Amino acid sequence: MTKPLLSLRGLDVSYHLDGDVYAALRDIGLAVGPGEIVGVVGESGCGKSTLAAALLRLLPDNAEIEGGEAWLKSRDLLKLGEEDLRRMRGRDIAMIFQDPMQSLNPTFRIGSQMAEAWRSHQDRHARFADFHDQAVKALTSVGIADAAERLASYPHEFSGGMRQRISIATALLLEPAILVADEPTSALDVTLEAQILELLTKLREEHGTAIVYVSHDLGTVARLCDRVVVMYAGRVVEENDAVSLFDTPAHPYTRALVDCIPSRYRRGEALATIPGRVPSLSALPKGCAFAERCAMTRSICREEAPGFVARAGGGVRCHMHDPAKAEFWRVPGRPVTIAVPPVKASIREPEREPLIEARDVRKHFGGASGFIGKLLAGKSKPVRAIDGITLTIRRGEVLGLVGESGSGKTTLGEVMLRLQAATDGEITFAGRKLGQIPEKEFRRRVQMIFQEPHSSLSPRQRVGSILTEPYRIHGIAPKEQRSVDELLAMVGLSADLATKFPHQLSGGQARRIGIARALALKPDFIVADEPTAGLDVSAASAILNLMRDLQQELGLTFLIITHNINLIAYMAHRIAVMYLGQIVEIGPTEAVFDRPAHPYSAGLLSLSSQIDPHDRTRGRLLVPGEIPSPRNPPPGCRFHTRCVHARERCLSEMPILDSAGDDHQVACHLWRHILQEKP
Amino acid sequence: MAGYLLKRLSGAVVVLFLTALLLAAAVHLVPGDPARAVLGAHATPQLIAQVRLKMGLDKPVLVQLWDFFSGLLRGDLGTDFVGGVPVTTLIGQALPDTLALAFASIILAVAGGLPLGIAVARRPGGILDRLTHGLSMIFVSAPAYVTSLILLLIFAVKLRYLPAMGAGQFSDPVNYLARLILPATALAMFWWGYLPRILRSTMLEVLGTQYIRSARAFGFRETVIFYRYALRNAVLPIVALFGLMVGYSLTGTVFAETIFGRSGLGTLALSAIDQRNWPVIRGVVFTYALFFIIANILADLSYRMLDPRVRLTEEFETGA
Repeated sequence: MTKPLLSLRGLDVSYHLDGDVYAALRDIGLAVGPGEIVGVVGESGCGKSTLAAALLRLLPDNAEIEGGEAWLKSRDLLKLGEEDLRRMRGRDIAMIFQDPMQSLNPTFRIGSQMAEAWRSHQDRHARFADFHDQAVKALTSVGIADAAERLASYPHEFSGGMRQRISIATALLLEPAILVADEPTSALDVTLEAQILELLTKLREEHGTAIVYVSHDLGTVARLCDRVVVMYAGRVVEENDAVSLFDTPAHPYTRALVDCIPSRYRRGEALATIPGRVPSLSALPKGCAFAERCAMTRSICREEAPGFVARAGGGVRCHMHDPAKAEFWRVPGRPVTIAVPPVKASIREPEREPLIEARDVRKHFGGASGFIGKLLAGKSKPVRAIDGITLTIRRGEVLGLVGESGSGKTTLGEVMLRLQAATDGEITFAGRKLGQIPEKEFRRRVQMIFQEPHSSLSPRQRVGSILTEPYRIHGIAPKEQRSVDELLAMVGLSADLATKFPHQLSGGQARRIGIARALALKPDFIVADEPTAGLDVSAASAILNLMRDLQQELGLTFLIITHNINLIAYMAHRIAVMYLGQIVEIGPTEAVFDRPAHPYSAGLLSLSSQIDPHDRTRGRLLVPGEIPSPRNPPPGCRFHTRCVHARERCLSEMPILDSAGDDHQVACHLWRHILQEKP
Repeated sequence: MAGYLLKRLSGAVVVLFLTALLLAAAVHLVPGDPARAVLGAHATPQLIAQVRLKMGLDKPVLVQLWDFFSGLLRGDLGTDFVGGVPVTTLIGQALPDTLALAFASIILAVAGGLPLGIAVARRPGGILDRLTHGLSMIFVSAPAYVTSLILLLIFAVKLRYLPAMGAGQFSDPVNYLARLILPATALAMFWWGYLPRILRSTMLEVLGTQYIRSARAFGFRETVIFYRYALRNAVLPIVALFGLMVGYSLTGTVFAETIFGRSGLGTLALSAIDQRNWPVIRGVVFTYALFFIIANILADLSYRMLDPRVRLTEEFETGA
């Protein structure tokens, strides 16, 4: 590497809270070359965001930078005076944040906010006309149409993805040499995430901007970054160029992170998990901080903290790679390798008998009903959350439902469980119409695993009471009940959790309690809404393993609702792709992944993880634009506004599901034509 | 916008109608015959009958209501039982002094409370913060009649800096203003305790938001962040308080006017209650309600001007 642009050495940051000292960052070194994209990854609580904030000294008041230096343009950012630092922020080093909905001031027009950023780095004589031209140029280049007019819009008039573009455009205006991006796409849909990543790549290509990209999502890091730094418990544990790091991870932690990620190539296998949690930063162990969770631990790991061992492309903080300590791992006649998770390849196929069927189901919100309702509602149109869905799920089947936010996935799940009444259509469960099944009986046989694990557990009940509540509600005879211990053991939790309250649980534990509660009544059908959202990769992989095992052992039927394509690829027998309240493609997972027939599915599925070497070379099909409002769906094919193949016919005629192979259906006028077009 | 205003105004008309209805009902709900109450225990039955006729109490209740509302639409609030003066004339005489007092107290409240709040928010935990924290407790918990008496004792009786009694005349503005200072201050003191605390907490909340952090990351000057970016959003909840402020000031004027011997709506209402002078009571309460409603509409409108998000939701809800 040529002389680095940003050179960070020996950074120590501590948080002070209630008299305790938390060692948030220790001895962090990071070098970023001009135009280089460096990824920073790790679980939550490992110090990624603290590192990002420390680079601009935007740390909260209770944080203290205890040592280190950060050289940028021959100045040490950590020792600059306030005014000098302010001048460097934005112009030399800028930052964009995770939640685009909150990073713009709601009461100022975006033009005014951009102007303020610009003016902060100009002298008194700066002319507004100069700003205006530059701002229009910047907004246009990040893909905001009618930029000159949109300058007068307020932030709430933009979607989340658009707001993130505005933040990037503001950075563009100041032309910083380096941009720190802290989880810039975590709050966005996969399609928008891909668009933002594309934009960041463009920023580097056209302006030579170097990027420090902080993310918990290894998939996007693998795709975007040149070099990757892995953090654990406030330290850099591995650094390497992206390809080597993901192909041959050296640190056991990196190895485990990579193996945690579900993908279609791991179907039927158990995913790797990392037992335990990141240790508390206020009481770090004497030896290696990862020793407690590591599969390769030897006696030395608990006694002595490992140093950073330099290797080609970077280095690794692990005794195992220190030639001086190699004897601890030497087994006669075998080279040192990292344990690979046991392979347990089996997929239980579903039965033929349908369990739940939906026929032409619709759910419209806020529509006018009755004479008075129509009179009051006037012209206002209903939100067509679900608009004509026909779907059959067989007993023992796992159906994955994917689509962007606003496609109606969650509503469909709730309507199928009769948590919301359908506006129109018919649902049959185990051969009987939903209307004919008594409420109590139906509730016993179906369950939901909710998206928000903590808020779906009563904060005033102890875990034991939460788990046995279904028995009390349904008056189940004691001999047919499973004990609390049994239920906890089933989801891999220890019995002592029974006396805890929900706020004492971690996200992963709360999610398991939700699953255990759903399983208490031995239901036939479970709807799981975003079962791993908000969890770290290691916790998510443990949940997926659990769901998979339970599904195989008990033959459960699952509808999994998610925007996480990797999860679906790993878990589901069949995939249904939803767009604006309709299913545009449905079929066996392999078939839909290998031969996606609908342009929307093709785009969406191409955005799955690119950790696996087979995937890295695969092209990605960007789905342009954003999903329209379900209050006003486009006429004809609902996808035509974003479809590159759209023809005359697509604008007026709505396509219906058509067979595209064995058990594989697609709603597209042109699918045959498009398939042939592919190389 | 026009649709929103129409919606608010029609709501205001309904509230005024209900107020009038309640007032009319009150005449019949208080124990005893209003005519007897006015005339005292020794009045002859003939005299009582005569007065009842004059008050319109012999008519059915619905007709009395109708008379009141039709009078209202003509701008006629009836006639004072005691002096025979039209109620509108009485209110017209009393209103300017009361409005001047209420207005002055609100100006003092904002002029004192906001800068103090800003200064406190600038250095949370500083000397000023700790000092005002204690004082605000006292200011907020002291009722207007207590602050009025204390101010009167100190500045008018002991120190003799300012006149003690009366409202003065408009024709002598300096004297009029001098007589406003003490009662207006007495009413403003509550807000001097309250506003800085609110502004301090909203300001700290806003300064902790992501968009302020984002502004720092783009190198905004601290003064711009504090006075332009954060202050506007922190002041929004206080704008919503404006309606409440007017209400507090108006009710406060009743005490302040009585204690400082000022003429005004408050003293008018008090003497009317003493005399069971129903038309006057009704007229005064109706005037209070009117101003309260106007103040709240103004507060909501200015909130909408300042916060673009509210505008959008309203438009969405009304389908405009």
